[in-house]
Amino acid sequence: MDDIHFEQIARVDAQGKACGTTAYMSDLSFPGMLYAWFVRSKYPHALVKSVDISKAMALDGVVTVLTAADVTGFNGFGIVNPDMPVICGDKVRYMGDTVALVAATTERIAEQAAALVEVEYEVLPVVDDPIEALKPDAPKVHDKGNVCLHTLITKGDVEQGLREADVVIEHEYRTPRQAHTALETESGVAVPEADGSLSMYAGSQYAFRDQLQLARILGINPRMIRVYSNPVGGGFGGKDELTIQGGIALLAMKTGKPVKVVLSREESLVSGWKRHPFIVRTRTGFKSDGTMLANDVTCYEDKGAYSSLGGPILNLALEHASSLYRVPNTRHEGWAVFTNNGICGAFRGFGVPQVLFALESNMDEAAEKLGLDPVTIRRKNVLYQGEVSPIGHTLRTGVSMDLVLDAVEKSDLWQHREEYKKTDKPWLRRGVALSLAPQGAGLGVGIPDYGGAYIDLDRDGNFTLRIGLVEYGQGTHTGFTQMAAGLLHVDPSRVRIVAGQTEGSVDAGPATASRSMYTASNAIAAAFHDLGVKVAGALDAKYHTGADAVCEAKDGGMTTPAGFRTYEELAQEFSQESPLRGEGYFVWPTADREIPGAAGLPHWIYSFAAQAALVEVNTLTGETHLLKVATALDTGRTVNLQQVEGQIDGGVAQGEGFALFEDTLIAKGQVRTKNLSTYIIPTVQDVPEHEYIILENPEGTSALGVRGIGEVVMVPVIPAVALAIHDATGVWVRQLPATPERVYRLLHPDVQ
Amino acid sequence: MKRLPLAGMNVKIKLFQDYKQYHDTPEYELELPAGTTAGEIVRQLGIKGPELAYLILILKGKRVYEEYVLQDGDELLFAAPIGGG
Amino acid sequence: MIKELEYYAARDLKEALKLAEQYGSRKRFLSGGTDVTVRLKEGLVKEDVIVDLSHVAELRFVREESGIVHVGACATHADLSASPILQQHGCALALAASRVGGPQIRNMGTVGGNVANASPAGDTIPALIVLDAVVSIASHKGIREVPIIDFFTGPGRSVLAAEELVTELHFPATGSGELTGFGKLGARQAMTISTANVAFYFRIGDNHRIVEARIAFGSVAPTVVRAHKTEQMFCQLPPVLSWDAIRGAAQMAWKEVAPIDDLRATAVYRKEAVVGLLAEAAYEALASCWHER
Repeated sequence: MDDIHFEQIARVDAQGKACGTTAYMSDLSFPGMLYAWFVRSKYPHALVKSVDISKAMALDGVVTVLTAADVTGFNGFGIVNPDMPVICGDKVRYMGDTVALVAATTERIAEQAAALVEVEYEVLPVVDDPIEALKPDAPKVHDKGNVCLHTLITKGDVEQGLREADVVIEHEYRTPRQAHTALETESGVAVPEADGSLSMYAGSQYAFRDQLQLARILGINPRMIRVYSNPVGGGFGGKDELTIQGGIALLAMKTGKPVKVVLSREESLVSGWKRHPFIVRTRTGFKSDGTMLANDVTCYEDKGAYSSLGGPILNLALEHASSLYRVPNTRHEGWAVFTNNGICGAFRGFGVPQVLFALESNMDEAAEKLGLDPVTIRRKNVLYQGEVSPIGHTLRTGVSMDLVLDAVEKSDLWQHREEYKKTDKPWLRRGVALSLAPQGAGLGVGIPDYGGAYIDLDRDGNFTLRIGLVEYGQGTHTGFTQMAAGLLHVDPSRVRIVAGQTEGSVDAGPATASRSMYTASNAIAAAFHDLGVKVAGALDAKYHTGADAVCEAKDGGMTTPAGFRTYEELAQEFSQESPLRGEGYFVWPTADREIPGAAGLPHWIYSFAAQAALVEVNTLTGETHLLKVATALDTGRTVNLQQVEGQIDGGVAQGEGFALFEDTLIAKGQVRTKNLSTYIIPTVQDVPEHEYIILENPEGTSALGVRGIGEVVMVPVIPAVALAIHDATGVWVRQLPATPERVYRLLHPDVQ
Repeated sequence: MKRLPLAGMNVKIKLFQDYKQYHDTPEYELELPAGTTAGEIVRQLGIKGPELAYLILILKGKRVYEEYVLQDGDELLFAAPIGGG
Repeated sequence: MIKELEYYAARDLKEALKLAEQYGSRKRFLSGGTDVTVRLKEGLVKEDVIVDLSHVAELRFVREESGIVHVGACATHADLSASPILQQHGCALALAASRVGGPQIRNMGTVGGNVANASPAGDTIPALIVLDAVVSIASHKGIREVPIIDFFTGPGRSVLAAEELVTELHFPATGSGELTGFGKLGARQAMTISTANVAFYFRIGDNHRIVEARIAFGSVAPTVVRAHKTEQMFCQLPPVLSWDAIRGAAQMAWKEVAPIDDLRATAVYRKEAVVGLLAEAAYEALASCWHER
């Protein structure tokens, strides 16, 4: 593994993206293409009594209007539970629900026709608070009730632990409904083919799952559907679940014409997936020396109207509710609750930012009460490999809690924090705080987590790497290219990638869960090994050199029992009719048993990061600026440093958004922040200076030692910002985002 | 797993998620005549409707399809393509 | 959906005024388009004729003549923030323009549009008010001049008649002994509509005291407002850089603003925040001529 060199290259997709020549799926056009319009609900909660499409159909240029009765297969989608109708027939549950679909010759006509669809509603009371929604007399979002999932995980005796504690920190925390705000909104083109099949061109995070969800909706064989989902103009989890694909697939199949849609930002913000807001109630008990004794956590997850991944997100949050600290007594309980507040699904961090904001805040408060330093109290409690986690499983592989903590402590920002905190303006206060996080990677126990890759030796002696995992900006395709090139001993320019499509690439699972680089490292290494076997087999068939001979990559070719051959020579000899193909498959290691009552838990492999943040608070206005962040990150092994730093930059910005700016405001089911002038994300003027500390503690189960890092880089910065505001001003922030007004009111509790 | 002579073969079936409801135990072994396809097991289990549409079959990390001819010693996974954190 | 519109690009002022006369209240002027196009998209433009002023080069200037600074209505925010004339003779306006939106917005949006739009949150307006600017308004009938403080009649409303057009703003050039400044509170550092903003003008007398003060707040009342009582407080300050004294003077602003609750902030918070906003901006400016004791 160590002899494999990763050539540090610029992003393989940099030129096309920088010059604007890269064609995203939403850039595609086809002859005779129609435009779709989604007729959205007028109410956040209502029965649909009737839908009259006659006036819309009569409009010149309208090709078809579909209602629920026109769904040819199963009228529902959802990764875990297909409870979200493609077209609502009897009931709407949020403002983005679709009641009819229009296809017309122009986008303008489609929009005009949508306004002519007459829907009769019977308005129902709105339920917009997850705790209210749990009450027996609350309006029911679904017939079966408002509980999407309830999970309880216990270890030891939490009450006893809290009784024995010298200090118990008890608080309620609230987190925002963050929007993904990918540059490319939900969009795509569905193209019906002459043989009755369908080609779906839509940026998404898992083409192979979209294929099955679409087959379920259309009621046709999955192999009659091809999905092309790469490249994606930003995902962050918002394109993990289906978005617009079901609607345009139905329209294309009905009309026999290609059908395109590109959602406006406003429609995206109203109808699209969001991060689940959490209410986290905690009681955390410590001994006087800082040792954790007990943690009692209850989470209320505002699910919004449909399941999607709300259950797995709740469970991952509960897995992390006591982080990877040594806590003998825990009680982690969670409720994922349906409401009429939009829809929530996967988002970078997947429940972990919500609970770690609470836990890490309690940690600093305990440290302050006990007169301990924030590093000391954490160091006392971090777990090491071989120890038992707060939810009861033994940590078997690469635990780096202590390493990232030590590294962030040594950062320039932390070491010189008193210097950094100086300011000469009487109204400004500066503070520094730190936090650390593990982030479970992969899909967890009880879910097959697998991935494949092909390495084709093409006719010209170059290579095509075929792998399902999409590029949505993370830089993974650059990493895949470097890993393949490193194994093959060729220049990275000789490897091209075909990814994210059901034809021509290999199912490698979803591009989620910090799993792409790790999965690919093993699938590509297996494919490389298999290519050597194929070369040996081909040589044996021709020259009888022995079938079990070993071929090793070296200097642009392979040493074989028939001597050194360049890849060009091998291709000339064996790849002319069809490429010599190495096939690699990998199955993630998982725990041998599931935590009782908690589907998917525990995870086996974690990512680790620690971050320190410097903030400046204007005590007159409450404005808080994040000035500098030091990130200590364990990459396992760095494949491309620029991409790692890019993930840190982006993760910190997204974490900063969560901590200071971003929240989709919904009042009585109506979204009030419908565009980017009211839904506030950080601009380049707002993002901090960075200090990067990259650790390489190889992950033993990766053929190349790599770990996923895409999610964890946005997690610790969130509590670090909140705690830095405390360091600056003395107030504890328990609800995010810490907007100027919220901080001002904390500073001036007398203001009504 | 012990190999059976000639015609017979042993195959292990593992059911995940909602597919567990189709058999008493989530893991079981089958003795099958040579030439049995994965699709025949799917039909034997009676998986249909939306659950059939959402089914994936996995063999050592590789997707296989209904026409796949089972081999002695295979471990065939029945699952839905769920994601996660 | 943007409705169908008639669109005219005026080549010069004469043509713009002719089109204004012809279409009257049916027409809407568009200068940089940073407000009008957003409103068009939201279906908030009732007019069905657009008269585009962005090619009217004669209205794009910043110049100083005989102690008067003239700013053409079509000068962009980028023009204003980079203008050496304004930096020297109308600093508050350059600062205010530099805080509008982001670079793209500043390259398109114009000061005439910001004024004519009459938003209580318009960033250049408090600066123009404390600079005692006069609005030149043209129509086919001729030109009239209105002091900017009398120009606004309510949120989005002004004294402009349908056939009239703002052509320039002019104000006395500030010189030595005069300090002007601007402060803005928004949801983030750039690309933000003001939650509150403030501009001030101080004339410093021979004894280093403030002898004349003008202070205006935006986004805290139906129109941008002058804060006369607060101005008096600043004129009573001893000429010593004292944070407590400056903050105390600014405290009066609390009584002079009448904000509302909206998506950006509550009224109560706005009242509190404008005090701090003024205090810090004034402190920074006065630090250049006063010293701590």
